[in-house]
Amino acid sequence: MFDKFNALYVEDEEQIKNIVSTVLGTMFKNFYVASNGQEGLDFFRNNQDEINIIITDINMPLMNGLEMCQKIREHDINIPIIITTAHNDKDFLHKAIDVGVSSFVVKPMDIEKLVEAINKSMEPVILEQKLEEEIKQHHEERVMTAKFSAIGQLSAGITHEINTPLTYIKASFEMMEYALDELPDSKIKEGMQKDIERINDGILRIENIIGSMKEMSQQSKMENEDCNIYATLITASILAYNKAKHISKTYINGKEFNLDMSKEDENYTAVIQKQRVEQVWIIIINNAMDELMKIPEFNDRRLDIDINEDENNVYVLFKDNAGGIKPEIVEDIFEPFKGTKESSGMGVGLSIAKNIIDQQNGNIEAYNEGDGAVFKITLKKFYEDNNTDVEF
Amino acid sequence: MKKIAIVDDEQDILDILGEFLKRSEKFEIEAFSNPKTAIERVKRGEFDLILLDIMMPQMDGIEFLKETKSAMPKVGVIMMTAYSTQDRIVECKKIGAEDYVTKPFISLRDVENKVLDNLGL
Repeated sequence: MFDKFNALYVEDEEQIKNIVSTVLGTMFKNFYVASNGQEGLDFFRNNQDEINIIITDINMPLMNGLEMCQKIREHDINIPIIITTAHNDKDFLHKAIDVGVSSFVVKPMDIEKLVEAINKSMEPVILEQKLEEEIKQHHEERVMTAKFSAIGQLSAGITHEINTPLTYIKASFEMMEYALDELPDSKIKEGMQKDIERINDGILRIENIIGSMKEMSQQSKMENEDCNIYATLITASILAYNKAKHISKTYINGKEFNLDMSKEDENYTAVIQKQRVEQVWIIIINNAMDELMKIPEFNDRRLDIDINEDENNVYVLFKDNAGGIKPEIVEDIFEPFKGTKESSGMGVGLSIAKNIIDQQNGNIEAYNEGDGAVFKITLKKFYEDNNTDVEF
Repeated sequence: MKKIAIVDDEQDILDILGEFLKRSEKFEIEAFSNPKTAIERVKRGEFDLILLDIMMPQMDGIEFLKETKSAMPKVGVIMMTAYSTQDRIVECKKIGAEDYVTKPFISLRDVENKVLDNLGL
């Protein structure tokens, strides 16, 4: 219920303490218990940032509940405090209001009433946290978009500069090959022919990488268009290859991915914003690679990308064998900072991915199957009339 | 003999393409690194076919194509483009370009085949 929040409960009577702790303990992330006002105050002072709500009894040894509230209010005027009390005379309640109590529950306690009071008191806390998350997410999205656009501009320049020498290097080796064919057979000729073969292989790889970078950097392609989804997956795989090749093999519709694969081998057309969908594929592939790294042996790791279609949709499934998504986060993995990747600063990757897919009128879902996680993306084959929002 | 103009601001590309196309001795080749010089000669009707780069600092290849097609509609033009985006190719086709090749070339032989096709050889 409040699984992101921590509560501090202060009560001196063992029996009540045990019952309340048992019932409320599961509602919070952490449910801390103290036995009197002094202990409660000390705990609060040491863990102020972690505690989101305080529930306290009034009559306790060493320091009573109201005194504790008063002292806590000196440090924190916002934290919700609920008191449980047998008193309900006016004078007492005035005092309680004076020290800034948010709500009270009369003893003997009705647990339902207590939960109700907690719900009400927690509302502003939850709202504030949601707002904070939202602001953080928007900020990260803007940073990501800015990064992608900067990389795009940079790579547009670089790819053009590389493409020109690449053109005459490739053509020169072709000329050399023809010239070599004219020479009489010899060991040296044979060796040179093998060298040229290797060089051509290298050139082809560079060409593929440059081609993919170029496609990604074209800024104008923000409108929805008919696209071969297979080709976008090859492009994304090429761009992710530098990292992926050290981690795991990737299979696209059963074929092991390599840099020489043709984008035209298969065709599944859907209406998308090409570059942005490629951005989604890269996020998912990179995530999968991070998870696959947890498996010690290279040969035991595997990422399968399968594409299929029916009358109206194209489906893309990314399936790894890295053990699956933790059950506690699988439900809201597309919420920012839900993944396990906070450390690498990519906590918003999947939420951006979802955002983009939503804007293609598509759908993205995540679930576990067999020995790993599956990300399933559904994309529409045909244009829809409702206008699509391009902006974030 | 058919006459071909190659227009590209990159000397190395002019050199290698010219050298290769000369080998068959089926056509005469002239290379231009400055499109402004080239367009004057094209307008005088000196060439049967042009191999034309799109991105050039002195003059945009698409502008070159437009001027060629309005002055000499029968001269064939094959565009050479590093930016193989559909819209650019479609734009060139609309203006009247006969064909296109992407850079890096699939192969010099492929360029030669397109030249032969367009000259009806």
